[in-house]
Amino acid sequence: MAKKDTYTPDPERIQLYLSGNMPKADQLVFENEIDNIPLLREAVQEAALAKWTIHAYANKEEMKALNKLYENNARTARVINSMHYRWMAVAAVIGLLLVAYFVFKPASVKNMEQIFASYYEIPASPDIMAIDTEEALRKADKAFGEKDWNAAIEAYGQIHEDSISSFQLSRIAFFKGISYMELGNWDQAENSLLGADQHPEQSQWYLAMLALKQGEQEKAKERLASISSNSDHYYAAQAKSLLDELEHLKE
Amino acid sequence: MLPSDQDIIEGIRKGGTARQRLASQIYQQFMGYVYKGQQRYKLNLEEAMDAYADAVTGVCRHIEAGKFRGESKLSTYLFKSFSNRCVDKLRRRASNANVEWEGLTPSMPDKAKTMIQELVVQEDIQRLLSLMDELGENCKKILIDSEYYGFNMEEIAERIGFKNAASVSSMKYRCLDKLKKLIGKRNS
Repeated sequence: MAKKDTYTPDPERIQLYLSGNMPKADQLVFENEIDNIPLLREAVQEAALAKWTIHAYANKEEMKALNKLYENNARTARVINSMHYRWMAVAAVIGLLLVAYFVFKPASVKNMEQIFASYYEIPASPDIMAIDTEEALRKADKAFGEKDWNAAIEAYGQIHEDSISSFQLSRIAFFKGISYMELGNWDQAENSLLGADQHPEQSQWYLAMLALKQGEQEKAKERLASISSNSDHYYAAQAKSLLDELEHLKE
Repeated sequence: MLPSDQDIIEGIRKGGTARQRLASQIYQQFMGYVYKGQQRYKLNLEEAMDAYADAVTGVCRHIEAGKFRGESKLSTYLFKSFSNRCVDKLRRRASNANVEWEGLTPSMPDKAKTMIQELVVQEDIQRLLSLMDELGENCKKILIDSEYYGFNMEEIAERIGFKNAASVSSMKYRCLDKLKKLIGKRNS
């Protein structure tokens, strides 16, 4: 054991101990030293407290970021729900209009457009999700919020990928996808939405919407079926309802 | 679509970007639990969201520490963990307590936990956490990325635009030192 009066705590040994990766036998020796050498005890305590502080802080930040996902989903759902109730309230009128469409506009794409319009809502303008979000991202989000799709695409494209987290990259892909969709640029919309891998529920829903917008009924149904088959999916109920309408369309 | 439980476990243990991505994927996949928590435990939305996010990050910690290796389904494990946290919320509501220090404690030997338990007293938690904000953005990012998310030094260098891993590594030790000093000042 080291002499108490000449003892200098070894930071690497302390880190190894706190990481839990020190072999059991060494750990027992080390803990014995902690009990007998006040200087070491103090250094371990200090390092443990610093480690705790970092973890606790990071944990709270991560929880906040995760809960932003919930809030964004809830906001989108509220929009969709309010649309749903509005739809029910004017169902009779729309029903009459649909009859008129059947008579005068036999092309099923037109009817799909109506259905699309009743389910599609531009996602709410994105929030700033990270404390250190860079200026370029704010600019892009602002353009998106103002529905200036070309400016939004250009601004999102100017963000240096290395400077942001993968979560933000996914978010950018999602909002870029929506911007392309609004401009009628289907291929790029699909590619971007497919790249929003950390926003799977939103991107799956909007990919279904994209297929619907393109008049690709079978593709839309396939995507909606995949969403509605997962009861935990945020858009499960909407997907089921939309699928029912599409089935009815076929009849 | 969420990867298989085994892929999730491997990805989270790998740390870094994979861990971050998987945590948000898990969170999004089982978001319905928040509603279940509100219904079953009569929690308000904020409490249920807090319990759910805590459960997701807790499951990640258990995977990192090897406490969950896929013996049961991830969804079952997460729900059990979430339910426990909902019950904790109810208990804390009854006892008026705020944050439990232990729930925020990373994996470390029991002796080390006991040593800091006496220091992390309830009223000090917010003050301790606020010290992180005094470190500056780069320091905070380096410490969180390396200690919490498990990014290696090369990855952190790329993320914050440093020339190489060595400069991140030396900065990490300076930051850690700075944090220890801030903690020390708080105690004195």
